[in-house]
Amino acid sequence: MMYVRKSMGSYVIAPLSLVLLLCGVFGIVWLRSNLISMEYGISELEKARLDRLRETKMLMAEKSSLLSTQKLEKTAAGNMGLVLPDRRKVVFVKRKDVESYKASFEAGLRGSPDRKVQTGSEGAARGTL
Amino acid sequence: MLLNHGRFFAKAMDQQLKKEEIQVRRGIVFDRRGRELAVNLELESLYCDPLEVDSPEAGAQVVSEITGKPRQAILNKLSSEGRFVWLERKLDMDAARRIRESKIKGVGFVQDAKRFYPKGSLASHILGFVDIDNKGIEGVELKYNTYLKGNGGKVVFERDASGKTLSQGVDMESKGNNLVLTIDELLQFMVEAQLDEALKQWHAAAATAIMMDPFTGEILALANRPSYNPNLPGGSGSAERRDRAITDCYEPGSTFKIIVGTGAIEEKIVKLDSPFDCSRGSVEIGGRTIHDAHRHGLLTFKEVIQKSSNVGSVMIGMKLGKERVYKYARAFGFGEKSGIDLPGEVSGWIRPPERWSGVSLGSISIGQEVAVTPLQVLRAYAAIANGGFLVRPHVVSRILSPEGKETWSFRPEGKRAISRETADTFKGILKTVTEEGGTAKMASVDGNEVAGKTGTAQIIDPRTKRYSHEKYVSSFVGFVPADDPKIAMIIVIYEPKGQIYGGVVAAPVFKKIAESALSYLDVPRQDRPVNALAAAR
Repeated sequence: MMYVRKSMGSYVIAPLSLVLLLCGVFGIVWLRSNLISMEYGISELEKARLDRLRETKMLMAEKSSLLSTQKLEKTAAGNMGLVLPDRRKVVFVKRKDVESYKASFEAGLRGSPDRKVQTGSEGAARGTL
Repeated sequence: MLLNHGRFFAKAMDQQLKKEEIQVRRGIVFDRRGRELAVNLELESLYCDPLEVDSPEAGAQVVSEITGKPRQAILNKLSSEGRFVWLERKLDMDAARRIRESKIKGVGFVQDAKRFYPKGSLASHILGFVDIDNKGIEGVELKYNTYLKGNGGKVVFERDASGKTLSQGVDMESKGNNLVLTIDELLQFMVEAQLDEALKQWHAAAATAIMMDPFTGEILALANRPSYNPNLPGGSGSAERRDRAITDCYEPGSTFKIIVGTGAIEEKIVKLDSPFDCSRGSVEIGGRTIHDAHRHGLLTFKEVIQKSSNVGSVMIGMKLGKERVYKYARAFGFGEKSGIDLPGEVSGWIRPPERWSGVSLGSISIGQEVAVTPLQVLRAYAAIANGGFLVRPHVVSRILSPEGKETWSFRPEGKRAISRETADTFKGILKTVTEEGGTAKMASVDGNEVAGKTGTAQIIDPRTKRYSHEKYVSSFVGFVPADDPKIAMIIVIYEPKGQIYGGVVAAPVFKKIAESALSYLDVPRQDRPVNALAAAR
């Protein structure tokens, strides 16, 4: 028969491994549980976000409706007594940094229109659309 | 247990997984300045699972009281077979809340979007409308349905015993692309307001107006009367929903004289002062006598157009010949669709010369025996305004992704119809139409020159198959400022009562709209120098 002499280390390693294994298992369970909790949380937040989005849309629709030209005109002309400006009383001013705008197809290649549609302040300043 | 693995596994999956539809929302439609013209309302639709309903009678009573729908119809649905039956689509928020509070077993709610047009009937013929399932039926809603509608789908969620779901990180709302139109809400309002007034004043059967940028073909406003509210499309008939601007043909009358006028100049067969003897007040062609509305004396070519002489126009047409009259009519786009991005456009018609009768040359020279749409006429006059190019009218300028990124934009197209010289010469003649001695003095705008042409055409009586002496189409088409046009516009009034002439009925409408539109567009008056004081800025 052979006898093997156990070292002190082997008495420590086995329980330590067991403890580590248990810690690992509980750790994974804890992480998974936290993950699921977070997913629930995210799900709730997503629902709340959609609700807010819906509210925003309803408010936007209401705003657009309230700002319709027809309603503004009715209020302005009816309750406030405002009228559209008479062209004879409007003074047009010319900005120094903006040249007068001339539309033409002629400069375009092969007869294609070269006119750029201007928007925003540039267009307004030049008296174009 | 193991033997029943499949069954129990399926049951477990059924309990753990939940399928949900992705909410599909149509894109928003904006005007050219970013004002919303079509948006979505978030409503709820009510459904039931008849097998789960405890008391159909009580449920039907509650739902009927709240929705106002017949009790029996709701009861039938609650008692029907199947597991999913719609009770009411797109309930308003208050009704949905009240039904929810009544806690009827077996009924549930689904989020549903309803298309809403915040400006009411404004621009209804451009926007169109959608059906109950948010599918485009008319207007840009139909034409651009593919872009506006979002892509749906289903998402599978894990859920626990209490029914709480876990996030899958998927956006549960799919949005369609947004459209930016070329129309301007305020210009559209101006046009519609004046059209309403004209309809009232002349007790007319219908009316149409289109405003366009003559250089790009952008439709700035398009309106028809009668009209409808796209929020309640069911409350209107086909007459109200018809987009007369592109689907209705009419004989244009004198506005068609642009064909013989420009053709004669282009072919160099007349000069501005070439004389035409119109003193007889009538001319015979192919056995038919064509009269002038008022007898004129000896007229120059320029005066023939200015005074809209039928006799003079027939003479010009005879000089030009039928082949060339047809050639110029086609060059200006008559007899073909303009290509506007709205559904239902018709091409109108003009017969080829080989099918003309002996009278046709005379009739077509004065705008009879042809069928055109208001948009075709406007497009032809826009060619005079822009130096001879036939543009493609359009109502959508850009398509934006839901995130606001531009995915498509319209590039203006133009093909030459006549030379620049001819266009400029004819523009000069059209300017005289709105001056003293012309037929459209009432279209002249304070401070800016207007170039245009009146039209007064008889309508064929369907009973007698002859021209009616009571029913007319009065029109005016023109552009302003004449030398640097910002807008081209056509006004067509169908069957006005009391007055018939385009210069009296339609021209004042043009004037009123043009004056407010020029103010809005900051177009200065030509008769006053621009204030130099501000140049120092």
